[in-house]
Amino acid sequence: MLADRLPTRWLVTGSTAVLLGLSALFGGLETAPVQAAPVLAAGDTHVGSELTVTVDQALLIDAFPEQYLTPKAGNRLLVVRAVVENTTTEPRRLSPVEADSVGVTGVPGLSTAKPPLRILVIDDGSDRVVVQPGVPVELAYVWEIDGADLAAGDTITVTLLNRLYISEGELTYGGLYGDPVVAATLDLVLDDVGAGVSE
Amino acid sequence: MLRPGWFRQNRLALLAVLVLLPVTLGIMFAYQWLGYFERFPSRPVDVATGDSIQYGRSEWRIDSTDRFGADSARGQERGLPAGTDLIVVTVRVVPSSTGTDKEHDLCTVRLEETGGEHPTRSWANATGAAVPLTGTGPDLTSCSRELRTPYTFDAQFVVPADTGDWSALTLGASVVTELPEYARFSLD
Amino acid sequence: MTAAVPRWRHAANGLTLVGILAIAAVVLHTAPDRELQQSPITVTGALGERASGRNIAATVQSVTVTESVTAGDGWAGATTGVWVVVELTVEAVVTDQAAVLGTAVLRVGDAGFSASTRPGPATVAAASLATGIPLTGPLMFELPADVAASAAAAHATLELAANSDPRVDSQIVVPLDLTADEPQTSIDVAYPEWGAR
Repeated sequence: MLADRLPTRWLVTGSTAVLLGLSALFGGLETAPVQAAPVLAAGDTHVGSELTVTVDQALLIDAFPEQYLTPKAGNRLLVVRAVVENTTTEPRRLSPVEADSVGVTGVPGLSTAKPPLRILVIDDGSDRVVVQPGVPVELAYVWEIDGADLAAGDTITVTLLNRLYISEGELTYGGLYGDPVVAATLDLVLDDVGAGVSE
Repeated sequence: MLRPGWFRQNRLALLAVLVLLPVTLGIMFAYQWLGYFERFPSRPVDVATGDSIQYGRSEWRIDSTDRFGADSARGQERGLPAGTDLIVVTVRVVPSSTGTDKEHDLCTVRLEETGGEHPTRSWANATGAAVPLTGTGPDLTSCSRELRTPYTFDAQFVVPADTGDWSALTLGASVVTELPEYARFSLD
Repeated sequence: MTAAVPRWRHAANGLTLVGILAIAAVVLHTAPDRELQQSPITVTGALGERASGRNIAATVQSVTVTESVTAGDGWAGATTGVWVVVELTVEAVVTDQAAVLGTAVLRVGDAGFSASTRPGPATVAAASLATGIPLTGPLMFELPADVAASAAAAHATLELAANSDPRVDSQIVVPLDLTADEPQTSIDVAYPEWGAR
């Protein structure tokens, strides 16, 4: 039989050559280039995989006394205001366990993946945020920062994140999600509202 | 199909099957059912009215049971909702003096209603339950960690007014270290 | 015996094999998947009637669509959609241990809306329940205005369960018609209250 008379090394070299030739069709063996996340401006609407987010402004404030949010002495609160709409068919809870919708980077003293201290509904100050499908809601994402790190006029980078759905939970109820992926970024100039005004 | 004399020829084997089959089934069932009762999450130790029981590190006894309707003066003082009663069970606890400084047992008490037209229902002590009570309550509503001398505590339960009409009420007291056993006192 | 097996016996064996394989395929494909095995046990109710599950019993009294609502403690939240306010009475049936109104979901078409917890204690959403003692109060849902007026809103359903994880326990399902009455501009609702009415 032909197979008996074919030396093994011819077979190995031959198949390697065929595989390399096939990989050339798909762009070779170099790593594929990763698309950089789009950069937006304040007020732009970004359609994510589950949420449509419009970031309005970022500001510094002393405290939210009515919500019992008072930072330690010397610290201030960094607030990012955004309008969030749920484009799925199930309610979406946004809780500060993980930064999976809006995050900040480039802030001295805050690690990149640090979740917000609180997420508040701007209308009534409620901190139980569940975004209903099709109902946009204006939210405040609050981080605690050292007062000396940032001031009015500084620029921070806000990241808009997508959750990656893995599967339905085996034992737990609800879906399982992987680490959030940065879908878009925008640079915002900070305002400072001092002690804030009661609306 | 069975030729005559088949039973006679195989009588030993048939006898063995006749004996071994029920024995095997019996052993299997016994193993399963004993395991079921062993692992049952709760094992009540019943205590008749007026009796006392040594449970955990203390001796327990029901001193008295009171019941106030929502319309009564006491009921209105505590802010009972319409259609409910307040059942107050006074439990006497004699902690054993072990001589050590360790903290004594904490306990959880629940009221259970069995029989009657409803399925078995149970209620938590009012201090940890949903229905709020106003006014001044008793000093001690549950077991004390510090006391070493005999004391009483009043467990309060807000229950629907028809509780205990044609059913038996029992108080279940449990101490974490003694679980799955818990003391079940009959209330009259 | 050394006689050859007749052909028809071979064919019969083959057919039996195919038949058994077909039955096995049907059994495998119709076996309940995890979703069906863990599905909640549905108890269907009706507006105004008491529906009772294992540890939850509820009576839905009314449903109103309104642009703004003021709760019993003065809370008045704004929404970019409309409020659907459901007045209901709910109680635990056998035990109050870990009994809360954990699931309160309004389904319109294929979208689900959870009862808002923004009003805090002024709504019965996520309220602790007591055995046999009814709690009467409002549930408030935020819906997009077009969904609340759509054709699917006439066949909306309200799902209630005594746990935020409704699997393998009773779930009360009440069909509601959100388009039955005219939408209101503003309504007041009472603070949740305990006790029989």
